[in-house]
Amino acid sequence: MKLEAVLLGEGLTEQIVMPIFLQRCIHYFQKDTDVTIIDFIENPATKDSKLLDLLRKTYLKYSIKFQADILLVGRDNDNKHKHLPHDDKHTKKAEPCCFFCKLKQEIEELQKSSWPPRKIPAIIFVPVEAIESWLLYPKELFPENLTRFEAKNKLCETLRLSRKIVEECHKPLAEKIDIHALRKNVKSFDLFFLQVETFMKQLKI
Amino acid sequence: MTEKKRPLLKKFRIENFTSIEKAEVVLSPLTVFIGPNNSGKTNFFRALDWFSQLVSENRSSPFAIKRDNEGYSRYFHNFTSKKICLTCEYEGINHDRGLGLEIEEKETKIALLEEDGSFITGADLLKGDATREIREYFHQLRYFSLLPKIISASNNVFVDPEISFEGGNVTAVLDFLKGEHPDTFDKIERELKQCVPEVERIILKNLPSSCKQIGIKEKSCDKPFIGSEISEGILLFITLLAIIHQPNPAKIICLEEPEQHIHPRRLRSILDYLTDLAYHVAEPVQILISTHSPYFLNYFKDRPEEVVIVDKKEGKTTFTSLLEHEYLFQDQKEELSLGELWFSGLVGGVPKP
Repeated sequence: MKLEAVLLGEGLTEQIVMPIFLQRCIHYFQKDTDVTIIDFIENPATKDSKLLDLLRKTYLKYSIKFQADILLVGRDNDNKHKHLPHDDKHTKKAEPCCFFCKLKQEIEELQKSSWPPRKIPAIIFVPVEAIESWLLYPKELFPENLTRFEAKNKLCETLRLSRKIVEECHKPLAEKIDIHALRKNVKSFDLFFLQVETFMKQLKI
Repeated sequence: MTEKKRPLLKKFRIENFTSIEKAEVVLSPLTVFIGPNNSGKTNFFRALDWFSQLVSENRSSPFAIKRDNEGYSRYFHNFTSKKICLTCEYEGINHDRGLGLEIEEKETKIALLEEDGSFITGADLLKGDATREIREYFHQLRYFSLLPKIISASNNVFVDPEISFEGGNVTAVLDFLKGEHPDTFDKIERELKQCVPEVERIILKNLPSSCKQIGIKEKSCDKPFIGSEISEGILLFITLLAIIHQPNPAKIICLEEPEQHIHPRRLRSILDYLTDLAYHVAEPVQILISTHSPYFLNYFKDRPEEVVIVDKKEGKTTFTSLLEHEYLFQDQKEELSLGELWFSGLVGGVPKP
């Protein structure tokens, strides 16, 4: 089976790494399902509300004008409230305070609404504190305890990332990392994995 | 009595012109083209520029036409067809008819769209009365891709000069205006000072053998800045003002990236001048601009019909109106500027990953 996904992410690292993570998680459930990223929407915004606006517009684009099987949306959880699957206490439906819950609420509203007519399944990724924390295990046993600067520095010894650095450093790690072990040790990744699992179950139905 | 329509190119159709296999672009009084490098924005301007020269100068051999020593023959049939077709629909000129050219290596066929929808063709169409008005109109198309280095160079001064493609002759034009149209020169100086308050006046420095060179005098500095000593942004600003206020203004201006070297906060002033010129003067000028500036694009959020998105798919240039993405603006919870939407890739016109 072939799936087409739209990726809404912050920049180059997500653009290279997230398709690999998504593909590997999907293969965990179904070996013969391949995913292609058909569009990359780059998030230029720093304000949460702007990211939500971009999410809505991306959803509208692929609900009204074009088609996609999955909307993959996320951003780094830097210096903000964190959402981990074992701790839901901070989540208030009326006023979510973490990125994950804000994105989730917005998607749920779009999916509940009668307009736009076509619903798109969405998978959220909010690494704590940066995508590098999903790549540091087992070099770092608790990578989510690091700040994003520490995580980037530990992974590739520089904060000045370029395509070459991401291709040479991040990409091979994403291709080889032990998904099972990563789930156990990096909770924000597990949260991503659980959504892929739900998506794949719904796909089989 | 019906009101006389303003002259306007409404649509330009292009077939087999370099990267453009087949396209129809709807034009507004002011149209802005956005898209990644090498998508085909310049090819659109070149096609229109070539069309204007073929129509207005009635050249027997289209491929003899040159723009700054750059031959046009290389634009011929990149695709399978062996002919280039350029068709223009307009209103307010020549009884709202359309004009089409079919260009083959040895022959150019000309067709004129009649009011009843039929076409008349003929080799002499570009000589007769039937096309006089449109020929004169296209004769006044000006295409600019301004370079500060060219603008700042010394010029021979002469009567009735015109600013060239890269900004040559600006000093000669300003000198002519100062002598023959002092009010216009004062207006340019006043508008420059409005946008760049530190400027006191424009200087046209005399050089040997009837040459002059542009300069500016700043309030806080006794010594004037001449030629390349002037900030590149100010050189471009002066040139844009000179283009806008030329005594014999163009009817259509194609302008590549007017935001070059200009501070983002001053882009509003550039757009205001262009908007006035396109809409709010007695004899409006049609303006076509390309831009890479999201700040410049931000001002078009409520004018989506003026934005054309240029992309390249499988090596072929495509043109899409921002109007096709109107559904994005039906969302009431708007936070993102149009520039941000463009940068994100949602409306297209961005480099491929």
